[in-house]
Amino acid sequence: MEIKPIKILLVEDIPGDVLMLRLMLSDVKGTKFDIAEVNSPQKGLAQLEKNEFDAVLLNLLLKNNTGFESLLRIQEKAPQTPVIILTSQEDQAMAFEAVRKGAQDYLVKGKLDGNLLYRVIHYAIERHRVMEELKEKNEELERLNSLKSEFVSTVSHELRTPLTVVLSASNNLLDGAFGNLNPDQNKWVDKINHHALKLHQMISDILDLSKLQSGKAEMRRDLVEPGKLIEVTVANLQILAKEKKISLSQQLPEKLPSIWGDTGRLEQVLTNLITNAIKFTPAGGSVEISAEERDKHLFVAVSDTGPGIAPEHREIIFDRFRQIRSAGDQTSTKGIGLGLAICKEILDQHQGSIWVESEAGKGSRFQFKIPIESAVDRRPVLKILVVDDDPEICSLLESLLKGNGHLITTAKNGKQAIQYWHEKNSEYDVVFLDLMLPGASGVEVIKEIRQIKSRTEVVIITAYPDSKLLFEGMAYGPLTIIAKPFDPKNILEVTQKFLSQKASRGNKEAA
Amino acid sequence: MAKNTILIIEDDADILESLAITLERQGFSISKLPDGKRAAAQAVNEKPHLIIMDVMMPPPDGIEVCRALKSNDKTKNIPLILLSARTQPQDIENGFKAGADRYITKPFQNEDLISTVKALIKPETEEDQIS
Repeated sequence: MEIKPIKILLVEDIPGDVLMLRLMLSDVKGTKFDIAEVNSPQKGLAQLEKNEFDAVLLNLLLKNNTGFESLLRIQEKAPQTPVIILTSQEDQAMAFEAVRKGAQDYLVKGKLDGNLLYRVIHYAIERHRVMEELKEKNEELERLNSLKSEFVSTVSHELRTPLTVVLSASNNLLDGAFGNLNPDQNKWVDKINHHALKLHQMISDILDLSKLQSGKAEMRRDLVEPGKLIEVTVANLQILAKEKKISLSQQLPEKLPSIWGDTGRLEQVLTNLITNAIKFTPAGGSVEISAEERDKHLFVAVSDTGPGIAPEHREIIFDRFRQIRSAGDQTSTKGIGLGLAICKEILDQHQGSIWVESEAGKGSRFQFKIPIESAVDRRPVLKILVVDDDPEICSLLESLLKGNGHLITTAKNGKQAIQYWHEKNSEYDVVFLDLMLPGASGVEVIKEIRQIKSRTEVVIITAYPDSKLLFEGMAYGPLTIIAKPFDPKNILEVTQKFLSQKASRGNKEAA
Repeated sequence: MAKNTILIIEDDADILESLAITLERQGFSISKLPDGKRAAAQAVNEKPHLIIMDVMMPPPDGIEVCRALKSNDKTKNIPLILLSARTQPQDIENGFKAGADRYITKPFQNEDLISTVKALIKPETEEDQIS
């Protein structure tokens, strides 16, 4: 059987290493390798322009060193081709960083044999292929999702026009525009009108839910007084409750904390829950709204004396397009529409949650909670310490990071850095650090930082990746390495990543 | 007392007619246009007390006509209601940016439309209500 050779582009300028790799690959049984070798990244890029390869083996420390730049350029030129870094024992820190930047793997020279080499190449190709497929699938999904929102939006607009005629004409009929209606005519035109309104509500809900789910609905960030909001909403719904002979009341503590959130959306949640409760509670029953502050959250509950919800329905009622039978009434189905799904989306976007407790025959209690401090659209910032003896680097980083709202302190030597670190109770989220510092060395600064707080991220900005120093630093915990001269984009990417990590940590702690 | 006049511009014939019936029953005199092309000229000639106009029409659409009416000295003081099936905040903002006095989303309840119309035509005698 003819086996297709694996095409490798080898970017390496040490002839001995080239020879060694060739020999090792020729020893691999069952697979043939077709190797093109070049001694510079520029020539590598030229090769990638002309030919397709299954994998690139890249030495990052070539004579005319372009470092990570060459990796990025190759990835840009041939995103479909996996890159494997060739490195020596001392440069592993750099290889780690290369993998963070998208290289598939790295190989340490001197520790190689043919089988290892084959396995790494083989896996890199497979892994990269799977990743690329996943990326394509994701893009496809995103495209479909946005198509779906667009579709919902268009359809809902289209549906409104005929509905306008139905509502307007039925209103005119009821108004006697074409003569008085007899009681039967009146009853049925009224039903047409009523159901057209229901249809209208559904169309609005579908559009609303679609917008919320696609993330296109922006939440405002108001300072909301929950007590006031509940009182107003309850007052607005008293008429509805009276019509159904249901007692609607509120039970609020004297003081409730304010929260950050979208007033209109939170009112929508309350209105929805209370309207549902009224709808499902038989005449003579009661609906009560209560609220309390507990565990750094605002809890709001809407309790009714309705038929309750069967256990198997308590979760699915928050799904889309669900209809349930109320417990104890197995004959009729009542559509609960999209209201609860919308409530769930709104609360999700307030970092909150909603659930229901219910006992068949004894009513339901819908509850939601919202964190008091963390709120919609909360933009956390990072406290950053920049340590560099080059004042230009300090001010460059400062202006770059300040522009993004972060809080920056700069120190011009290691001693000062350590002093600031202790003064500020070690509350910095990120430290940008030059390793070659006067005063106390960068490694000493790292040691000091790591003694107290493990979550602080340390970013080394360095022109000459001195592996010995890097290794010493890494002994105290992980480092992020950025090569000098740096691209501002990289700095912002790194801080953005730390920021989202901090935010998700914050959420978890709050939850 | 002469009747207050309302100019309705709407490309859906059924909505146009039904709307006219609703407002005639409220004692208004109605003139109708099926598109925006002659809207400006007719507004200048008739000097209606109010204009109700659809947004999504074959060109020129309601937004465009609204902008033209509101930048013409002869018509800019005529209260104008935009009617639209487009209901998103951005759509409504576009309507107000074009100079509309009110933006009513379709479908609407007749009573809501009527109260808006009455509020706009007699703002000095009745309390200026925003419904």
